[in-house]
Amino acid sequence: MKSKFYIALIATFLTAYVINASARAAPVRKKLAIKAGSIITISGADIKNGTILIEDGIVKAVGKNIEIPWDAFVIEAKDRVVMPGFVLAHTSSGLDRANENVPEVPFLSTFDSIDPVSFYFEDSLRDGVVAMLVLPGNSTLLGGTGTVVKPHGLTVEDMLIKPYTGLKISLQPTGNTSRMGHMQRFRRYISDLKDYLEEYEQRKADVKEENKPFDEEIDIRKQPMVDLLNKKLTAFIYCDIAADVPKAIEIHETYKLNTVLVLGPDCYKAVGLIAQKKLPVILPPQLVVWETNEETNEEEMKVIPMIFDKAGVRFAFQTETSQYGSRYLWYQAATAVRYGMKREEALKSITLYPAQFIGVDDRLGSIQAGKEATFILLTSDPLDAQAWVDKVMIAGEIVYEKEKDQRLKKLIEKPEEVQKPKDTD
Amino acid sequence: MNPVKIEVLINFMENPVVMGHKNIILISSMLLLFTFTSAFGDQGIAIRAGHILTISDNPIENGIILIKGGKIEALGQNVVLPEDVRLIDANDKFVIPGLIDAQSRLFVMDSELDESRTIAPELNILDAIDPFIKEYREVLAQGVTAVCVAPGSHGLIGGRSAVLKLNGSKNIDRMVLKADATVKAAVGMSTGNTSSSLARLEHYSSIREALIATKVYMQTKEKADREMAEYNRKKAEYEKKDSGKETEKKEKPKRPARFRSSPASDVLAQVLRKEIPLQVEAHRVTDILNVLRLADEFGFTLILDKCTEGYLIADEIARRKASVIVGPVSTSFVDMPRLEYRNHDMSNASILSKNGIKTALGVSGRDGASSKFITLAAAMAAANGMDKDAALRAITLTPAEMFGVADRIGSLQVGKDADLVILNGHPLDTQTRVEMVLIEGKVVFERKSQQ
Amino acid sequence: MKAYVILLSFLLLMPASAKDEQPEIMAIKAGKILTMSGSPITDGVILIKDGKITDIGTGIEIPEKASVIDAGKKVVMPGLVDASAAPPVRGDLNEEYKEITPTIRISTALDPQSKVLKRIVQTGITTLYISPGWRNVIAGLGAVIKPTGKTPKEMIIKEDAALTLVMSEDSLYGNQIPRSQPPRNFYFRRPTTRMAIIWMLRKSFFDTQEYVKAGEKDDPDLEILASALDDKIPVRLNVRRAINIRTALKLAEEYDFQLILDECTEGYKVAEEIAEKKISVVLGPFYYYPRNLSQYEGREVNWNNAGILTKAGVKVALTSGAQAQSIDLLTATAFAVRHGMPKDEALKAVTITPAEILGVADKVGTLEKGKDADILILSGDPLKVTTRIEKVILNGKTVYKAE
Repeated sequence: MKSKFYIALIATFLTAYVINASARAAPVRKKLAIKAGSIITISGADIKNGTILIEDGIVKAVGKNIEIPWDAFVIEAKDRVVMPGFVLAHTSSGLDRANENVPEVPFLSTFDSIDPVSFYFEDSLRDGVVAMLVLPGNSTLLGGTGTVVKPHGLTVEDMLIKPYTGLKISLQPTGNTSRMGHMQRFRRYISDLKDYLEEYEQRKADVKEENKPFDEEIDIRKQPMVDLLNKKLTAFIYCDIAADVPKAIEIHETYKLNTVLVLGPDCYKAVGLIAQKKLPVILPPQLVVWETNEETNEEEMKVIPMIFDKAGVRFAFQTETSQYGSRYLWYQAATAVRYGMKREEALKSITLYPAQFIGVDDRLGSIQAGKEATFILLTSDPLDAQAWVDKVMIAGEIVYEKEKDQRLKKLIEKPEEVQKPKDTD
Repeated sequence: MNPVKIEVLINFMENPVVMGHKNIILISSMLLLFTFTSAFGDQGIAIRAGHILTISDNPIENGIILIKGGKIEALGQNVVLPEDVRLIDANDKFVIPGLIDAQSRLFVMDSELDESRTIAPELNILDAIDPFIKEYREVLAQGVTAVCVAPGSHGLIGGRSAVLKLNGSKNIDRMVLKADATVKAAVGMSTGNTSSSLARLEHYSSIREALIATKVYMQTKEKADREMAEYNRKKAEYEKKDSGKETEKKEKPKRPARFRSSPASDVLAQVLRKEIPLQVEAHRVTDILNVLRLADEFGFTLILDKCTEGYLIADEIARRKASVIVGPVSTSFVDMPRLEYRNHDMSNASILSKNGIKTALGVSGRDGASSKFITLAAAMAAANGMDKDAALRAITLTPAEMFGVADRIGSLQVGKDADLVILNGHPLDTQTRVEMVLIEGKVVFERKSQQ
Repeated sequence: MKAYVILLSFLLLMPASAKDEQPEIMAIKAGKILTMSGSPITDGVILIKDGKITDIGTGIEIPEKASVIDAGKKVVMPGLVDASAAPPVRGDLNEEYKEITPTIRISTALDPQSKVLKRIVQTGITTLYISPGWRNVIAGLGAVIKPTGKTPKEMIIKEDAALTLVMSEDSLYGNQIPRSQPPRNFYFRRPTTRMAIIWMLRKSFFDTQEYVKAGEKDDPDLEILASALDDKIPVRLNVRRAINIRTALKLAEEYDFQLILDECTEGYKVAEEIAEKKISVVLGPFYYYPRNLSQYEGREVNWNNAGILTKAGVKVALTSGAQAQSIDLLTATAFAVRHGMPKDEALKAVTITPAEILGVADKVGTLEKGKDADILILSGDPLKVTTRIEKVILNGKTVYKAE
């Protein structure tokens, strides 16, 4: 009698557990296979009617006629185009505040400022971005270090892809400083830092000579700049006008840094210098600028990606939300293609190249065996203006589905019957 | 095209074999000629001119300048021309060295006009240069091939100046003829319409204190260097003995305290050691006298900038062997209602020059393009008494000497850069036009023939 | 020897002379022609003479002397008609000495040398409507122009094309008396609330009706308003919020005049009501976020405004927006389709529909015999953002060629 009771109790608990388990959100499956109508691998040729095999969130194989294991969960995507998720190599959105009041704060990190609930991340995921390097803004000389995050997660830890990536340097003078003063400030900081390091090494050598243990660490506030000088951190140098570019190159060469230039729209004039030094650049969000020619007083159209493409400079795109279209990375690539850039290069500039610039190309940027299973499933070709991101998969897990996107529905669909008032004025 | 070459072409074409294939040969010879003429730039250039004003020596009438590798290879009336040389015929024209504006804002970004009143010798005007502006072309068209750019008049010690060439290079390194040419300072500048004597005294004493501090710094540095050298010697000895047998107990030499170098003081130290001149902007007699007193006390090489009332104390300036850049020449107090210019006189340059003071002229315009008026400045100085040759020298060799680039530019001499200007009249004649400008042997400007 | 000199000079002179000659008849051969007046024509030919289309279709014989543009497999469509564009004028768009200025004509400020003309042509716009600014309640008369011509007169193809009325809150930002301070200048403005704007409109309409009843003829302002209320001049009313749209519809009913709605940002909320009254809508520029709109003008946006209105049966024209200068009209159309507007309607919304709304459909808007030869040659599908406008032909002359 008693045992029957206990069996019934255990049975109830077990059932409850099983029901609970299956009622939880779809678990991350161990093995997946995506059968797609078109696969843009970026690293190789496009594949029609191919299959991607995924295990533990990593791509196991991609190609045509791949045998699908019996225990793999199959996702049918015959009418979809699958490609690597977009990577944004530089953004200052999604932060509580992009710039600090003090000019020299290299020890700050955007990790402490990212707001996971910001609409910016929700929009980015909807637009197909799977990784972005969030760096401090353009108004601080030494702004701090950046963080690579994915736009999905309730806490910054959940969103984290790679911490401590990139150190932001801005050559735009702040407040009332002149450019001379700004540059001098930078040089003084570095020379003070070098003095500090020399003294530090001195103390270390002295202590070592006396065979004593040395446990003093480098001042944590100076560590990022030390890492910058040792090439452990990449310098992201913002150039506001063309005249800043020679200065950025001077910094790059004098201190022998790993550098990526973040450009303003005026900087296309310095393309010759940039091409010479073979530096990677991140283009401004405005890709087509109209400038008045000083001599003829006529307006001329400058297409920035073409100017850099023709000079052989490798670049990545940025986005902004104030203008039509330039909110989407695919639109930036499409604009470049419209004016003559090769499609493959343009697509690389929104996937593989930015992944390389921010050091995550070991897992993102293309679809190949060994890389993370992080893709976007589009309703048609990415450069087609009518293509929508239908699903986003990050490390084998579907994290976004357009079908379930309530906010998008509200923005696109007809609102429910708005009550007609009886008399208006 | 050379008439000789056309004749050769005609004879070539009358050949019967050639006649048979005339079309192909016609087209291909046209193509060859185009490539041929464009290759001319790399070979030597010679200029045959009616009047060559060398500045450094007597003028040469009907002479030839031979240019090779961007430098003047030969110069004179009897120069032998090598075979393949491109000859520029300037038979009835004047040739002068490229002009130099000693007080220019060309290439300096607008945002850099106002610095705060501080002692900041470590600032460098090269950080404020925008190589992408296009205004330099207008200035080049008036014969200016080099400009001296310096920080503005607001900083007590504003920073280091530089000499730039107008060769249109986007690479700042290739534009710079000399970096750290001078250290710019300014005393007695008024704000608005007031000028307080106390404030001016403060300027003077601030600069003086900075120089005294530099002297102390130099002494401290020298002591630290000596101590470091001593320490290194003792350390080497200690280590040498130490590696051998442990016979005596040697005392380990103590490392001296680290010497913190200061970039600002290093620059002023160079000034005190006479390696870089101090270019001080001063307008009123009292301010100029203060500056001269500073020069007496510290012994640096002095260049007086603007020196508006210098003509009143020319003998004092001459005694210190200071040089002067006069500017602006061509305006009056009505145009520049600032207290500093109240006693502006257009014969300033003339009086200074006649007193044996090395005088250069500058435009000192608020914007870069006004450097094109440099010949006007020289013409006005000459009209108000300055010797014509001295006036021309004041915009060529004198500023070159003052800024330490006279080994490269400033006059037409063998071995110097081939930076020169061809004009259709004397440069100080206001009706003269610039026909051609060359920088390092390359034609950078050529006037298109008009109506 | 002489022969060579003659040959050389001939070779040098020939290209120059070829440029000056203008061909009498021009023919365009293209893989796909979107006429906007029927089904697309595949491998068709368009014949042009004296700036007009003389023939269009397949199997047309091209006369010998005609200069031919062979557009291969490319797509040809009519030049775009922008029903609300940034005007190529000199000076400010807003005359602020009075709130009611029906006699002000934007065409008097036209500048044939304006820098924006180049941009307008390069983005494929061959006909555009320009209007006075929106700071006045009754702003004045707009005109339909083409971006060509050496004098303003040559540019205008329809003078007094519409009367601009503004119910949006822009007029509240005019010269106002600062709060608790004396007026800054002599010309201070009255409307500081929505109530006042509606009142001013009603007063103007009322005065017009009285004027007409009394049979007077001497007030120029009221003459124009009378023509507008009599449907002789179309009325374009600028509204953004749904409440303003409803008020506008009510006013139109009360005073019995035809209406065209301008901007209509919240039109999607009242689409059926607009459709019921058979009112056309000229949509303003697109905003992603409500924060780009002014503080008072609504907190909601719908990306599919154009699509919802069209599906409800409203005639919609897409525009580049008079304020926004860098919007490419074809890109705007591509995005409208992306957000839900049907493809055919979208292409019509920048060609024949605005032409009809502006009253110039007899001249432009489609590729048909007798209409102006305003033609675009595109590298591909006009609704693809990767498509480039390769040539723009205006009145039979090539005015833009992509490098």
